[in-house]
Amino acid sequence: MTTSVDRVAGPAPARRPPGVLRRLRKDWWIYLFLLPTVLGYGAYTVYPLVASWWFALLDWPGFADQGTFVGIENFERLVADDLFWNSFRNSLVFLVCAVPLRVGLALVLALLLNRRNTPFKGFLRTLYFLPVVTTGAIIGVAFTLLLDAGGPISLALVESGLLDSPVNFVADTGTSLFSGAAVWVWKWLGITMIYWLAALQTIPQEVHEAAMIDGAGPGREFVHITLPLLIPFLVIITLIDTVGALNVFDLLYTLTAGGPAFSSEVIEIFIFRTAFGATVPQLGYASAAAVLFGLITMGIAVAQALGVRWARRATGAMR
Amino acid sequence: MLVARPGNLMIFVGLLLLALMWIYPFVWLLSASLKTQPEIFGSGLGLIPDEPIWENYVRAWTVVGFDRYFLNTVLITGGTVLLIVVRSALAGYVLGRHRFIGKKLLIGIFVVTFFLPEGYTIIPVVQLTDQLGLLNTYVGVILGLGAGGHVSATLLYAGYFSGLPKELEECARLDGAGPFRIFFRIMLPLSGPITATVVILTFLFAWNTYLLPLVFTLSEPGMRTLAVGMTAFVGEYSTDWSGLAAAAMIALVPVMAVFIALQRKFVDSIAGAVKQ
Amino acid sequence: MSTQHPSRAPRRRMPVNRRQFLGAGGAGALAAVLASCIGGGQSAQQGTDSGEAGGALQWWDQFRPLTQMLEDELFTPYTSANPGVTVERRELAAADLGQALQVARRSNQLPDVHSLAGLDAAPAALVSEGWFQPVGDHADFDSSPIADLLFDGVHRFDGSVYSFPLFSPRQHATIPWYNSALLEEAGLDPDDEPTTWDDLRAVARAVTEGTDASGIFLPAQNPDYLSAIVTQLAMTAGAPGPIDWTTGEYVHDSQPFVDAVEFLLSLQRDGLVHPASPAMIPRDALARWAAGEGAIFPWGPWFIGDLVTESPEVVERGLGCWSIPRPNEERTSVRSAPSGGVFWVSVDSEHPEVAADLLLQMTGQDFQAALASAMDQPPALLEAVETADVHPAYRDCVARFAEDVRIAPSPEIGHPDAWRVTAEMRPVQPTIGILVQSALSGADIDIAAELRTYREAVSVERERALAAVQADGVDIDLDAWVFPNWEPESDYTIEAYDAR
Repeated sequence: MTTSVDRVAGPAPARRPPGVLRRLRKDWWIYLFLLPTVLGYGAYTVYPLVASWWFALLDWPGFADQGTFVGIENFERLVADDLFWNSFRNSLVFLVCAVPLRVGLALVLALLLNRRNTPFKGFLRTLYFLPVVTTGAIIGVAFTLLLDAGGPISLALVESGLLDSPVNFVADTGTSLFSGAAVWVWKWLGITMIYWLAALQTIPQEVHEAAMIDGAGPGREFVHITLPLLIPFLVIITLIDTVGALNVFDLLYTLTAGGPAFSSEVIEIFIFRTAFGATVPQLGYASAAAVLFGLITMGIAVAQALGVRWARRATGAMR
Repeated sequence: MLVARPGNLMIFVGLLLLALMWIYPFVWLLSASLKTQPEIFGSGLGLIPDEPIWENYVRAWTVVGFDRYFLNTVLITGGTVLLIVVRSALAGYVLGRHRFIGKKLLIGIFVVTFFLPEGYTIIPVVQLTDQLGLLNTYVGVILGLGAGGHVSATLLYAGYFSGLPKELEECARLDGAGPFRIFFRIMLPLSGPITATVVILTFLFAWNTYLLPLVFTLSEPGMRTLAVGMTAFVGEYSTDWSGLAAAAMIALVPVMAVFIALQRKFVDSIAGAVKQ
Repeated sequence: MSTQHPSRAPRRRMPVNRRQFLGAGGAGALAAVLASCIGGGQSAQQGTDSGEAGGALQWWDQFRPLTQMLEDELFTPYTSANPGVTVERRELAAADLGQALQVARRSNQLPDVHSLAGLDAAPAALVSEGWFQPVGDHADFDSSPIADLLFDGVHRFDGSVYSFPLFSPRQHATIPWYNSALLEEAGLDPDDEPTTWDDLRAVARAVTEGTDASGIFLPAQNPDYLSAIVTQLAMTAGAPGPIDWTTGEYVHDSQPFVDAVEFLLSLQRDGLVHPASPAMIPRDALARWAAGEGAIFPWGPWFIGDLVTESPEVVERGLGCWSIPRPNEERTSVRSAPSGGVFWVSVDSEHPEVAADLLLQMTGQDFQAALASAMDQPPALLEAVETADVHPAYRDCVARFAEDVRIAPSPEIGHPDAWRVTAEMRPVQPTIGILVQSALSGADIDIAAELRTYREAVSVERERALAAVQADGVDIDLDAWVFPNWEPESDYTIEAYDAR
């Protein structure tokens, strides 16, 4: 997705650039076209970003009209707040468990569905994709019933002998976060599978045929030919899914609300709880948490974007 | 093919079983929405209700006010999709086909904020909406959802427009057409496929979004969307499980129906977006 | 928004449609374009077009079981006696109400009258932030029947009455409510009251073993519920309360608290607790108790009021309550803080005089008697229960309170600036409720050590808050929490404050 940035340069007139003012006057309509985006984006994306930095420096109880400036006190408290680090850790655990599972399982499914001799591909693909279009918040609520100790999942596991006794998946400190991760993978697997199918279609048929002529089996063909070609996609898809894994508020908030005892409280729920849910709401403190986590997220994104660039260069050299 | 047939069959059966697992939650939900209260947790794994209780749907629809939530969701989704399509097409066109002062800066800002998750700016967005006097209004929610973000939609348009041949514009310009006519008469009609992609992606986003409508409607329950209304249902009628399941079905079926009707388009859109 | 609405009374009624859609103007061209595209005009509110001259009074609270009662006993009589007044009540779930109020406050959209669910940590802090208007200026609460229950620092600030106690403080939330049919099925006699913790355990065991149902419910989804139960059980084991009033120190890690938590955990270890309890909030447990899935559910007096609202047929099946059990035969009472204000009139209200007058009606004998018959929390005028039309089990429950509950001292009443410290204190996590929740939902934790950590953290936080308040030049120290003349088995009366 990031790649189109390079392409938007578009066809460029090669004439000598006229004076700035004259250009601005000649191109007034361009700025008119941009106006909705610039206004909207400025007000609803850039301003909030800047404002949350300012709010992070305030002591601002939610029931007061405005905050008082306290410098970096919020950050100092944050660093000492076990619950912030708890939610940070939960977000990371969620990321590390759920993203590889989603990316890997989706790749396996895509490979199987991409085989010429698998019947009913379209039908299967539809079924896998169905949860993607559903509403996360509603899925969260529905799964509180499905994952109840008396619900069908627990019951099926007990009857099949996989469990000795019913488990309250979402109300157990040991399983709540992982239940959330499992539901998230279930919900979003289909879209990652489509990404992979799109990626697989970019591999020319000749590559496959050449491998067959060389006598490579399907396993060897995958490891030596398909896999290297997929690496740039692997990085992009992992990046997209990682960002997705940091946007799990709707699903987790409705499934576990971060509980029991904060065992599934990810950073977004921490922010929401601090800002809106607590008996003493603290907007400044919540903003500081948002800022800190936003920085970390951006760090991850930048690291991965660099990864994309590196992978593209590496594969480019190979071709 | 060279691969042995039993292997193929096994793979197919495996895929089918997995697919059935994938849709089981929906089937269970449908079944629960037609059962009586004690039947849900009392009748084991059986999916067929003794006697379908349609009254559950009536209750969810009227008592809880899902009719209102439904209307709210349609309005908010429609407004958001429209806003994003209009502003992204306009911006994408000039970004994709023209040079102007400040372009680099604009793209730079887009890139920096591309991965900003929604949850981290919610406090200032509420503050801003309040200052505009738009809290508890449809426009407030629509602007909150669609005015910022969605860089990918703009970039999709930019990428698409930049790929169209240059002659299109030049001919029109020779005929004396201004930039507005060129855009609305020539460019926009040509952008059908990419508009479909953007509409589908933003439709999915807006229909399913939760955090922003939740925060914006805290003090005005009449403005709730289906997603928010669903969680309110849990808070206020937590023990009405069959009503809960019926409400979930009401909220999920429209979007699933749209998907099944247009699934080819959905899949192509998403595949197309990722290839970009 | 108020600046854009010089006349705010009518905005609540007539022009809702356009305004709801477009906001208060100033939305910019984009908004206008959008509105015309979607074809605006849809109202976001239902039934607000009740155009009476006086304007509708907006009223928010969380008391679902009181819905009918408020309508029949308060709003209808009042609005027919005062033509021109209409009341629009909105009931929100307790958890949502606090969040809704915060957002409404920031956008000047507070209802005229509201309760404080979710924000009741320190009403005084809200008073100091300018949330409310005094009601005492418009209605004479000082000569109402509940005048004796009005306290400085709780209901009265700077000499003005802001709110009043609706409910009696003489109550607790650990009443073991039982299902008579299930007890009899297990071969037990409901009249044979289990007075000790072990007796209660034996009853739960007999039910678990003798029937298909579970012995007891312990819904663990809501930490506040667990906090209340543990604190109240700890008091039966000899704890003065969360604070030892003779020294002013927190005592969350004292032996009675540890014993109380251990008692709850042992019930679960023995397999006597309904297995789905960890995923339940109290209301879920009520529904499952009503469905006959378990015999005992410890909850407050409103248990039966809720039940009558939700599933009246179950009341006929047979139910009753016992006193809160204690670790041994010796009887020690449960202490409860003086009850605070429930309804407040917001600063945004255009009709404080109407709101105040309406609230004054709630302090009268008639309304208090009607409140008693709703069988929610017992009314402030507790004697109203004796003559009201209530279920015998409710009367029994309130009678047990008279025997078991004593009124604790309150620093906010004893020192005019104590509320500043309470308001400055930030919540300390994990709370007792959260600790018990994690222990009940599978975490392996050292209760005694965790309680000590909590007690120390809370003490440190109070020190910090105290220092911050002192730094503002307020004359207060830890003595505000010390009540040397406090007797565990007596009510701490207003005279006791003076004698301190």
